[in-house]
Amino acid sequence: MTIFQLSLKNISKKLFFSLFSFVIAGSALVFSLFYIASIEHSVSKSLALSKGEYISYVNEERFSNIPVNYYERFKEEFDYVIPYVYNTGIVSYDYDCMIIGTDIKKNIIYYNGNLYNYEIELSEVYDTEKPLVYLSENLKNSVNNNLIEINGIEYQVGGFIKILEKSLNENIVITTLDIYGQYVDMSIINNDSGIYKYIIDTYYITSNQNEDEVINTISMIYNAPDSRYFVDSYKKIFDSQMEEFMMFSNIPVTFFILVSVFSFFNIYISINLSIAERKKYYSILSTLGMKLKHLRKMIIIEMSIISVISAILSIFIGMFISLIAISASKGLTFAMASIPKFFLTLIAIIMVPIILTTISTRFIKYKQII
Amino acid sequence: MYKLNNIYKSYDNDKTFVLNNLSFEFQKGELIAIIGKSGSGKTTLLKILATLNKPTKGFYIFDEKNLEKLSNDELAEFRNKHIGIVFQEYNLIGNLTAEENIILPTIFNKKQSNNYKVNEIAEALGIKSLLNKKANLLSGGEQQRVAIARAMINDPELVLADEPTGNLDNDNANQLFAMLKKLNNLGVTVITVTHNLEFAKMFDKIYELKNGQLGLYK
Ligand SMILES: Nc1ncnc2c1ncn2[C@@H]1O[C@H](COP(=O)(O)OP(=O)(O)OP(=O)(O)O)[C@@H](O)[C@H]1O
Ligand SMILES: [Mg+2]
Repeated sequence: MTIFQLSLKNISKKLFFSLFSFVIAGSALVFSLFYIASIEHSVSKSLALSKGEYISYVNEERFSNIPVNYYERFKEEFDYVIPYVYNTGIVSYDYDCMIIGTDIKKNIIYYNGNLYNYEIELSEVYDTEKPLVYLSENLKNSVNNNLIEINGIEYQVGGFIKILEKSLNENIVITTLDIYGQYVDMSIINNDSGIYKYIIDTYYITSNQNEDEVINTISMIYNAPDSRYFVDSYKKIFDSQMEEFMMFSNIPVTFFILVSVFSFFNIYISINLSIAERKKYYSILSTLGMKLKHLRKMIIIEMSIISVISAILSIFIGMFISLIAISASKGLTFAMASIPKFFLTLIAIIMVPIILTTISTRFIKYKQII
Repeated sequence: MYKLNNIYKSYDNDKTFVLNNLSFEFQKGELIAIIGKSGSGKTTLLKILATLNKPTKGFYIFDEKNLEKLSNDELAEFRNKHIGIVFQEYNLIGNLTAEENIILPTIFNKKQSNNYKVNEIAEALGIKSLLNKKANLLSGGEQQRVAIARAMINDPELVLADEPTGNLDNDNANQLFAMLKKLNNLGVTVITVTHNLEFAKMFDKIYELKNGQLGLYK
């Protein structure tokens, strides 16, 4: 037999009083864990960017005199870069449209803060002299003989784009950067110093590098002190979306801390009650050679078992409450917490009572048992 | 050599003394009975010998070692290693088995108890068949033997017994003496406190506790 086995056989019922406060505190923490996980899950699903995606938006017209071709620099630094330039236009004096110059082959456009994937349904091209554009399907009616007039210039329609996944009911006209530069906005190509360059509004970048590296690289390209202000990343928009929930998520954590503090007194009293109740038992053990450190160890073992039991109860109760709360709130779906966070929470709800018990046992005196 | 030197013990802040300038010296391997009337302080004396109680005044030399300065923890360790105690009420833990009770003192030191030793002691005390029984299901005599086994498990050099014949008939008392005698023959010093003079007469030496002092019984 060991001290551990002896403690297992003689767990004091008085110590179980502490279990209630452990379970209440633990459930609150587990609840917040799952609730936040579900909110995060819902928020991250609704975000325009996913991990590894970046949008850099600088008006490069400011740098038109600087002899650097930024698009080329971006392509040197990142494997996957899509440039976007914007302008508005009028089709047949009736509709406004959005003209986007980009890399058509990448099949993705960035519009109004969102990314859209598309497919192109190619049309037959008759007159290769006229600049080619690709249209969203709602512009089909304005097309005559495969031609469309935008801002007074006739363009040849290369095809219609079909937006996948999300819906986009705008009139979108997509061109290549070259056509955009030559026909839509003449100022876009700068020949001053003999350097041919595009002036891009927005870049879409994907990168496997970590976020800080990407930010640093972009800062370096523009020679800017901190590109964080004009680069959107998954993390940045996620954090800004989560901000409003953070106050809410802090409540259970604060509650956990408060209950833990309160638990200290609870544990302290429970331990003293259990010692008083088992004075005879401890005095027998003391005559047989038990030292205070053995007594402390026994109480810590007992309390550890209780705290493991309450951690298990907390997980079930906390999950149950969050399931109910989540199914009651619109737009949220239940999501599992990440494994590291789950274990961190588990460790917190097991270790906090054990640590508090360890502190409490420092106050035990020989007087109490003999 | 063991020695109690000018021991005083008061439970009421020196108004009255249960032990009053008591001195007592005994040698390794002695077999001693201490008699005295009820309330004369026998248990008090035994607890001092067992290091469970500190004297109000005076000191205790145990095998050349002065125990006066030891802390409670040091005394616990000392007791665990050197002293076996059999209490009047046996002091077994009811929900543990006889065997678990016997090995209790071993869990507080680094020596691992071995089954062989438990069996050997149980064999000698005739309680082998009781080892797996819960202590609270044992009879008084059985409990006492378990308590003796527990006192022996750490190979103590001093075994103390308080009123061991309290609940025993004559036959059992004789058997008990035989066990203590056997222990004594192995070199263990045995001191028994009792008010049973018949029982005390079986021991090599009898002391009487009277007026807080100890003298040889004539
Ligand atoms: N913990 C204590 N607190 C106060 N007084 C005590 C304590 N223990 C013993 N006494 C007193 O000391 C005196 C001696 O008690 P002790 O138990 O040593 O006597 P005893 O000889 O063992 O008696 P018995 O034969 O009845 O067991 C008694 O008057 C008792 O009331
Ligand atoms: Mg007594």
